[in-house]
Amino acid sequence: MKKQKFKINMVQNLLLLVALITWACGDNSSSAESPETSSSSEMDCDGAGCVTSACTDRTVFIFGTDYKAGELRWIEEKAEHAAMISEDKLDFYQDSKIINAGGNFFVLERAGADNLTLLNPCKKEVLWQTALEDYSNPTDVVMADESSAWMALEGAQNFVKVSVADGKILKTVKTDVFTSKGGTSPNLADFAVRGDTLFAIFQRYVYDAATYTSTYPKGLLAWYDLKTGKLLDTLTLATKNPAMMATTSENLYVATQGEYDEMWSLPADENRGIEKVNLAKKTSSLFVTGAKLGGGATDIAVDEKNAVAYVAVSAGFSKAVVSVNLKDGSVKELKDISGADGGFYFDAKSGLLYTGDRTFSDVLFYDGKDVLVVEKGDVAPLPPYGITVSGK
Amino acid sequence: MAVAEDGPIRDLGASEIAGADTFETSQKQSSYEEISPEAWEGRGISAAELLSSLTGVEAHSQGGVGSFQTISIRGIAGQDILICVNGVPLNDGSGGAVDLGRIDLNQVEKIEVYKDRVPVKFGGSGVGGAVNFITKSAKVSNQESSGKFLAAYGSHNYWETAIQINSAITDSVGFTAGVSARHSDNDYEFKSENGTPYNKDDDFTANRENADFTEYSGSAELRILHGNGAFSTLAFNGAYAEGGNPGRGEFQTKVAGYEGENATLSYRLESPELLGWLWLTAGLSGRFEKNVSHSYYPLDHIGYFSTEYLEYGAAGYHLLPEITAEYLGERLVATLRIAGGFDRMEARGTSREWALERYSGNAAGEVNFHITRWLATSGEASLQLLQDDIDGGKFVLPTATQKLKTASNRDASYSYRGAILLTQPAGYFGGHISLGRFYRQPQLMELYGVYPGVVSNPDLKEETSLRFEGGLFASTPKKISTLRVTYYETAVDNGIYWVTSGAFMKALNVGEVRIRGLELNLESHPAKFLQVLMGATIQKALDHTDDVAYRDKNLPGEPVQSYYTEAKLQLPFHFDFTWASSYRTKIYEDRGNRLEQPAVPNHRAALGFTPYTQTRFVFAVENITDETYRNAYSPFPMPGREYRLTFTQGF
Repeated sequence: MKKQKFKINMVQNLLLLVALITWACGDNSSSAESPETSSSSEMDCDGAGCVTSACTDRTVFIFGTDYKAGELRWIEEKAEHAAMISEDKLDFYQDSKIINAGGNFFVLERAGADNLTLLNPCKKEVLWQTALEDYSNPTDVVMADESSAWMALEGAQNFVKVSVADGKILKTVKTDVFTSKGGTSPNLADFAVRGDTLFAIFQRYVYDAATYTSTYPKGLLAWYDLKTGKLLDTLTLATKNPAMMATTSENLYVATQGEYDEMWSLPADENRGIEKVNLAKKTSSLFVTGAKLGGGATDIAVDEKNAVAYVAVSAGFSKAVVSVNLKDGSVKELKDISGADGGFYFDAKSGLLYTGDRTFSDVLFYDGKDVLVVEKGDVAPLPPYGITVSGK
Repeated sequence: MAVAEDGPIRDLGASEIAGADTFETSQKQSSYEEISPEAWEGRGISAAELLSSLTGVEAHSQGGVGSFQTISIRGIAGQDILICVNGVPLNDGSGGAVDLGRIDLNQVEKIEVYKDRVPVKFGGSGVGGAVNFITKSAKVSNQESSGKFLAAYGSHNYWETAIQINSAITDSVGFTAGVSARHSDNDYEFKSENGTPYNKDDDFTANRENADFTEYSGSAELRILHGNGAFSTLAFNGAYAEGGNPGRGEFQTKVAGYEGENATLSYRLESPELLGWLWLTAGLSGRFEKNVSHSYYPLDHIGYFSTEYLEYGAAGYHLLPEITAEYLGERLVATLRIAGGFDRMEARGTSREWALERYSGNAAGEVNFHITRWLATSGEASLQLLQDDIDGGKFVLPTATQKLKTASNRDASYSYRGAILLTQPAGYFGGHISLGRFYRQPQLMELYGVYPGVVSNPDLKEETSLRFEGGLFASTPKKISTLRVTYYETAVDNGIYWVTSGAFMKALNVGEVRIRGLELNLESHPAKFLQVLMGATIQKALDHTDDVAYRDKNLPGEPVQSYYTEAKLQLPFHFDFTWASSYRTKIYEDRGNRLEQPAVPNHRAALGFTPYTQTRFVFAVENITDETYRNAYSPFPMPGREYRLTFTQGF
């Protein structure tokens, strides 16, 4: 496995580049289009519902931040370079997440801004932006149906359904019963969807101002009817501080960080890892422990085709990315990727894993064999923080 | 420069009613400047705004009376500028800049501004210059008691009152004391984009809430002439302030606020002339300050994620013993200062207990030698030793890889500076050049952060700066007009920045800065009734770090150009009028130059009326054009136009 700059090095990476460019050009185009020449992408409220479905370009977007300012850039094809980070950018709040939900490109400006924005990923234009409840801290968006989406709010005692057409709140689902005593919210961290079920994980921590630490009960998994938001059932997880979920056609996996120790680290032990949830038996157990991963699991993505899960691992300031064999739970560290603190996204369509390296402000991608770095050219982007791919 | 600032600073008389009826040109170099009360009394401007009228100085404010305000000098940010009151540093161990919003100018007699250095009398430590506020002083020779009363009222329920009394208790004992209070509701109107710059439909106008500020302050000084010719001076100054913490423009708070208090007590003994050539001064100063914030997260959404009412802050204790020896010869002037220091900071409020201590020793010397009537040289140097104590390691937030048991030993720090001055004996023209190296040791909080999310970094190195300056001045016949031109260049290495990573903040030596600039000052009094000041600063203050996201970007808060002009007119019937206008080009709030604040003008005017020698009224208007610029991602809305009426009565 090698790590190298992503200038065209035809001999070694020809196949990979061809794959990337072909994928980047979208399903039916011959080349990646610039923002000015992209295909029509206005809101389409007919046919497939109120989504930006007319915009079919599949573009890699990168949100960058130095925790002071935030900016959204994207990867463009240039004449001399196969792919480069764009010179153009859109400004957003310094702590934002970018999420592609069913072809709709959302920007979630988190606590302190608390906005939801829908973007036209072809024109790189904001379609609408709406303010949320103060300090509600949006963390995730999934589609409820063709015209509405569920939005997770970590800082509120509820989550909401919003209209994709204009961002208006259509429904509020209370979650206050999940708030721990002394907590300010149940800390809804992530959504996942399988079939007609909406899964939500709650961290439920309580901040102790005297010791400057948070105490965590075991994480909570709750599932709801995807259309109505009706609570169907709950399950206490095996470990604490769940961060993200990933689904396959058969299983639900939960990445848990566990509690921080007195060194503010996430030790490599049995108190965190990847849990596999058995919904039929309503049980959850560690599938891969933090001891095998090397720390707490902060993110997870599944490559179902190859029966592999990619996991972002953190042990405090030490970070790593590993692949987990979903058949036997064996772990392999991707040594050329020094963590994913700057973004973590697996694109099932292209089979590429994207990660961001904040130390060197690099965006890397991994095809299961090689790790390559996207050229920055003369652009001086802010360190990456989130990555996603637009389009369906 | 020592030559420019010579003369005792402690024998100033008591304050008079500001508003002189004639003007004189004053200072020959823009690197050292003095500001006297006539520049601020009745005009409703804060210490930071006042200082920013000087070339090379920029003010930074969070908006409103008493709000957090700092300055930068020649591109160097506030945390690197030494701020003193009567020579006692206000910079505590928090690693941040001194809040100039808490300085009540009613207690101040004079402000000294050193743009190019930290002088020997303050220890030579600090990469970005120094500002010394000198409080009102007792005068032994004054046989008559006198005093002054001030009352002011203005926009947003601003009120201010102060009284100052000066008394000669005996022929050899003088006393002065003053108390003042000031308050503002700070409920100014502001426009908000609601944090959604892509959505104009939800923009709104609101009034600032929970932003009130109240402060009570006082100072007193007793000055005694002993039988052997020595002087003793016992001085006290202190303040108590409380106010709301209004939070961001979009999310105004309900409960959050703060209380701050400080007190300084100092004693100084000045010897008579010894051996026919030596003067000694010994002093001991003690300072206490406490700042505690409070918030209730469910209503305020600031502070920590807790359902409890929280208080958090720190208290600091500082002790500064010093002894200074001065030789004043015909051509040679020399000063040697030996000082110690003790600083202790400890927790206040509901947070976990912690304590940090620092012991320091400092030796500094300065020599000025007049080679000829035209030519003089000066040299100065300082050495500082530090030892920190982290209270036995009871509580210091760990990094992910180490838990501190003891503080790290720190290397000795040093500064030096040399200068050559050329001045025509009659003072019509001249010039100077200087080159110096200065330093700032990391503050206790930067090394051993003790608040939530602040990670310690005991390996922090000192910041250093290498500073060059060259200047010329020339006056017209009769010195009606004086032009000063100063070029400065500064290189800062190992600049300390708070770097955020996720939920953690850590101070790192990541700053490399290169600054070049030019200051132009024209001071003129073409007629007896008119004085005009014009200043311009043109500078390149660039980040020189290896980080590509920041390299060659403008330093936060530093405009490329800034201009200031002021005209003072003596009018018939005991009226006077002052107009001041300033303009600066755009600035950025962040190192990446993403958060832009547009170019902005500011105009202010003051009409004074002095019907009797001791009676004066001033009506002032600040921000005449009602500029309320701000960036959508900037949390602090600015007040617009403000009015203030001030009455002053001497007795």
